[in-house]
Amino acid sequence: MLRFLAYRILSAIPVLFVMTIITFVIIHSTPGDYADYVASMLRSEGHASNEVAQAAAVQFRIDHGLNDPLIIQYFRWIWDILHGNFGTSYFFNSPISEVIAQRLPRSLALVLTVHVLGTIIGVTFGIIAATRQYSWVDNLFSFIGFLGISTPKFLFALVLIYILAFKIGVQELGSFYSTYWSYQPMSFGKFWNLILHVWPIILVGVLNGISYNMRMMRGNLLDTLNAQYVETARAKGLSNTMAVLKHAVPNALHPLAAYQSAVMRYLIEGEIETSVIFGIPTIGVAIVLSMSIGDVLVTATLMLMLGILQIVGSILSDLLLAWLDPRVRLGT
Amino acid sequence: MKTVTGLMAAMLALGVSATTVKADAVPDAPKFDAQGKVTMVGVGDILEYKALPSYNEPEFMKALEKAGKLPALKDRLPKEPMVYKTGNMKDGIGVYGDVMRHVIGGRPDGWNYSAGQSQGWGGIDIGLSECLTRTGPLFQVKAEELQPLPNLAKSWDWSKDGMQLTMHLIEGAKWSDGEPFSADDVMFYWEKNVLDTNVHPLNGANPGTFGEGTTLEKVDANTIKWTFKTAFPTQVLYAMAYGTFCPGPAHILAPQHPANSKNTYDEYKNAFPPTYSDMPTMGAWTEVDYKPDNIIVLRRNPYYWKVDEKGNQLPYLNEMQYRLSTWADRDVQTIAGTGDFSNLEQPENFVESLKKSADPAAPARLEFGQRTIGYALEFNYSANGWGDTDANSVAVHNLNRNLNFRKAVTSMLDRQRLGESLVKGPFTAIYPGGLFPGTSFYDKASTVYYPFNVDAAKADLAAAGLKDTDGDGFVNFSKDVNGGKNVEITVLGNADYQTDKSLVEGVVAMGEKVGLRVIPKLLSGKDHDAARDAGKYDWEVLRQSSEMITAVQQTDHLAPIGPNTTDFHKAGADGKVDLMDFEQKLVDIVNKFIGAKDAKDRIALMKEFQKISTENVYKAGLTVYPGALLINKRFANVAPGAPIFMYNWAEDNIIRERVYVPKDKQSKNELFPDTLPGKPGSAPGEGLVK
Repeated sequence: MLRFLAYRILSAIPVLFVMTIITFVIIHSTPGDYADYVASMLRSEGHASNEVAQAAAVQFRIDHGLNDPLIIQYFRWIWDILHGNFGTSYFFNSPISEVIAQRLPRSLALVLTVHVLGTIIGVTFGIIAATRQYSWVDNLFSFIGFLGISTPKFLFALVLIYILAFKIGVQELGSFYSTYWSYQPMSFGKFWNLILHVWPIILVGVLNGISYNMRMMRGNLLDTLNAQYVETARAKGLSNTMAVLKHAVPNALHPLAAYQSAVMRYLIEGEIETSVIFGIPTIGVAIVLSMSIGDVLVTATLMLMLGILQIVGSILSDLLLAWLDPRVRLGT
Repeated sequence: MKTVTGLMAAMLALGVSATTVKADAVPDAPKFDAQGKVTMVGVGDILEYKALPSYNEPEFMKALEKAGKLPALKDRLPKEPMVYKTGNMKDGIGVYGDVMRHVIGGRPDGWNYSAGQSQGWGGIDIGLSECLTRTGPLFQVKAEELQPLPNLAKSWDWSKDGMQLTMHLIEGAKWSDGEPFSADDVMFYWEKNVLDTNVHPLNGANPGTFGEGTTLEKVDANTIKWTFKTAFPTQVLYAMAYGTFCPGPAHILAPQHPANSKNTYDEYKNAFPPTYSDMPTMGAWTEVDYKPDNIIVLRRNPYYWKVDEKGNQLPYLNEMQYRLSTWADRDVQTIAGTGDFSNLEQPENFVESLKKSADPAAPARLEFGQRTIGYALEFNYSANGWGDTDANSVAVHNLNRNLNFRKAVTSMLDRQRLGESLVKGPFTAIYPGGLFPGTSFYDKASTVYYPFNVDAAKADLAAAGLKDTDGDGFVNFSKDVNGGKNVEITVLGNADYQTDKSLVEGVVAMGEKVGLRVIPKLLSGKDHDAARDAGKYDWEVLRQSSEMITAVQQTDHLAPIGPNTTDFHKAGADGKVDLMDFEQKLVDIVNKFIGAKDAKDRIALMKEFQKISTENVYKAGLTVYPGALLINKRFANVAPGAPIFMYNWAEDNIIRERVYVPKDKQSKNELFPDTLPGKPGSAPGEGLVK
């Protein structure tokens, strides 16, 4: 197993290297850079003239080496990373490592909460639906699943924020804490304030997660319920519930375990959609913002981080599959 | 029908101008109740400088005085403070307490405004800095008295020949840390920041901002003298307001400047990062706490030099908070009641926001100002290579210079429908181009308006030599231009805003009706800005900036008086702008306007500008509408009809230092109650005097 793990980690290095090149090139392939954003803000917020704004942009490019050939900018970035320096964000005016350190834990906490809740509830609903095929419960769950899968997360988030802000007058929107609580040490009151702020974001993510997991679990379980080994288990006198839970469910979980390797990408995508709309400071918002204003090193570094997370997720998924399936574990 | 069409075609083929467009009077803008009415006043009705018999301050500051932690109020105020007149305050003398909670999408670079660091925008710098003059509240000043308000410069005198301007600074004022403010601060900003070419102050102040060759000297501790190369350049008084002449604290900045230290210029710029708290200010508030991605907190400046007529030291509000979120979140927070202030600029949100604010339980109210948000279709006039991408773009840029073509474009636009595509109701008004209707220098009689008329547009296209030679429904160039291909026009728009997208789509559809193939080029963020700055477009749908509202700000944007002053007509590789004849006249008018001293002359010049620019369709106006100030209902003294943007942003226009919250409506949202800013350079949140 250790050899397997070492092999997977070593093989990830060239993947990451290639990814840095592709990411860097793609980020720079669109016209414009952060200097344009500087000029734009000077014009709109500071009423600066075009000439002044343009001069500021030219100066910014000189000061930050943005006129250098792309290959030089790339190697400067990689060289700094190899020396433990991710660079400085133009927008946040702070080291990128700090931006990541502030935002990554929040994002991971959010997506993992969404993932765990979505998986547990979705799998449970899937088992209930499969074991009661074509009943009203199955139909209801199928409808929820259809709604969750087919409604884009950003649309759901928009509708939710419209109802909360315009119709109900909910106060806890945007950010993780109300201003008062952001100044208090952690307590039950502060935790509750956190819940009040993040539940809409979690709801949007969980509904999608439930739908996906439920539909997948239902389909897989319906296949395995008709398998010979389940029939055999029943024939040996096992109760239907035990036959389902001990034999059918573990086998139906295999595709879901394999799905974990790709789940991080979907989770982060979902986090981006909902966080941008709810305006909370997460990795997703930082990616979108940095891309739109040309804070390129932030975008590149965050994409690299997501790549690493994807690879880690893939390795963990392989380990989970091996644990679940003796055929994988024993190599048969 | 066939016969009529055939006849028309025959007439066009013969080059007969059927019915080209005729000018008409501009329809008046509709009125509506939600639009606040501005009471126009003179400068003397707003403020004066004088000593009062006694002064007052919040109770907690009196307690700090008693405890020996704060000098006596009379020693903190200048000899003659600025006094706001009660008659100009909508709700009268205010009371102390409470906080205004802002939400912004920017982040602070640091506190060194003089060296180019942004504080995160959204009015933070306006709250922290004070400038020699002030323009924000000018929206309520009568046209005949229109000139910047005095501020740090309490008065000024022109020499007889108009070549020199002596400014008298407020005497005895102090920075928020108690150090005296004087002409030395002004001179440090001028000599070591504006004149030093290695330093680039935020908002781009440079020697040229105040006129080429202008000099500034210190006369005494409270007097400075400007010397100009031209007589009476009154325009520079506007440049002395936000954001190009707001001096920083020399006693803090100067030791870090490369002239006085071993610092590099970059180290000087970054010597005051966001974590350097309690940076001295002359503004009503001083920054005391910063939490990344969370909040910036400002507390009242105990040395603030403005009072009301009863001697109450301003500001009335003890605290300003800036939640660090996104710009889009600002509206949501204000509507929800967790933020207090927003500028509602997107017409798509007007109706829903009005409905919401009409609810008695709604936390925020909505007040519309004048119609100072306007969009125009700008033509890329450069036939000198700037922005050319291919043979088609060269041909279209040349076509843009044809008056018949521009007349066709302006008369193909159904401005009523364009406005309604943004929002239904009385919000939008027809905008033919030129200065915005209803603003100080606007003159309806000088405005030439070519109304919507599809037939006339087609006739003008024919007169411009464009015919549909291949029968595909779209006009073609003549054979000798671009191989006689279809005329294909790219119209640039900002994809970040629904308003921009709707207008671009409208222009595309209306072009099709007259046989013009218009191709939308919707780009976001930096991509849009880069395309615009490089001239990579044929037309652009663009929100107009302050020159169309005030004429006295960004005046150089009105016409290409320099190689790069307008964003739609710039110099080619030879450094020259290929001006059209009428454009040369506009340039001459703008240059005269900049140097004009007499108000009557300036008004006459702008009338001429309006006539020539609209007659020649310099820009094809699209629509104008008002922005709305979205502000929590508990605030008093917010001037009715304050525009969200005119001479400056609403954060300056409403004069925040005299805004207050009545006692019975005060919230408990102050994060640092009963405290004052402390020692400069304290750790965030830790330097407070309490």
